[in-house]
Amino acid sequence: MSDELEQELKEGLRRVPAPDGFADRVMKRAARKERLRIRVMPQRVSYVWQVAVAAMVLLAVLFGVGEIAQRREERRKAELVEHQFDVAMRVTGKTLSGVGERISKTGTKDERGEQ
Amino acid sequence: MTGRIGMTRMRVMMAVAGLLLAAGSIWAMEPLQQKDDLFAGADKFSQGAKSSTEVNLDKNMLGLMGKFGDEGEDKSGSELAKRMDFVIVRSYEYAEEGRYNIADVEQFRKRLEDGGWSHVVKERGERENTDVCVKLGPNGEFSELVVISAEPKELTFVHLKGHMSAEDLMKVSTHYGVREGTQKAKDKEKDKEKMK
Repeated sequence: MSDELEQELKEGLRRVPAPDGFADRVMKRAARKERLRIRVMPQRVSYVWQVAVAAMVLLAVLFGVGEIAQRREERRKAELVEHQFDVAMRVTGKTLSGVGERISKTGTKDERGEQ
Repeated sequence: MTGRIGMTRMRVMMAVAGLLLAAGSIWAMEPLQQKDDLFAGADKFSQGAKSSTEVNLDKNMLGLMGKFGDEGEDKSGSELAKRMDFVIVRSYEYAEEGRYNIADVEQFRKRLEDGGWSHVVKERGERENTDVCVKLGPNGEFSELVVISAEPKELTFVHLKGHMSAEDLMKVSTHYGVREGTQKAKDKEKDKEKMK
């Protein structure tokens, strides 16, 4: 049984000489594929593209982060401006209403004096 | 060949660095403060003041108000802010009387004598002196308002420029002034209670 199997293996794995011109055909095909690959994307162009794509991705990420930071900064500024405007209007309002009160008091005194 | 690749790499890196620098400088740009010739030098009154309030808002900064829609239901403040060109307020409070020279205030009042200002209020009292001046726009609206109020312990300069109606000023005086007045009255009551 094992002799039969051994025989079959020997037969199957027997060294067979390559057909004529096989090595040449393989080498030609490999060279043609290499030529095609170089024509589609030469090594140098491929490197430039890689750098360009990496730079674009980096820029996109940086601009995205910058946009978020800018928006946050704008919101902070808007809150500060709202607070400052409120303070300014309170000071103005208080001053104007104080003047108004004093004028109306003077007016009342004058009216009383006239009567 | 290697030299050309090196050059290309250098160019790409320089372009990226240039872009980043440009972007950075744009983001870092801060709005300039509004210049005001009328009250230039008024900050000297802050010397010896117990508290000082200085607000300087230009049109760009005022435009930020209400931009994020979180000013609540009352949008009158942001609506008024958008019609303003600038808001400048200097207010100084002193712990005791005589901490500033009234003659120094006079030089600011004199600046209102020229430039087409209409004196709406000119109050000269024993303890309080107030000037309220306005400039009118072509539609009869107030285009500028200046208030100089000198009290023994308080000195206030206000300069507003923009499109303000009499109603706006009434609102500022009643809404903000009353609120401030109420707060001050509450503070005074608290002080009285503490004294007891």
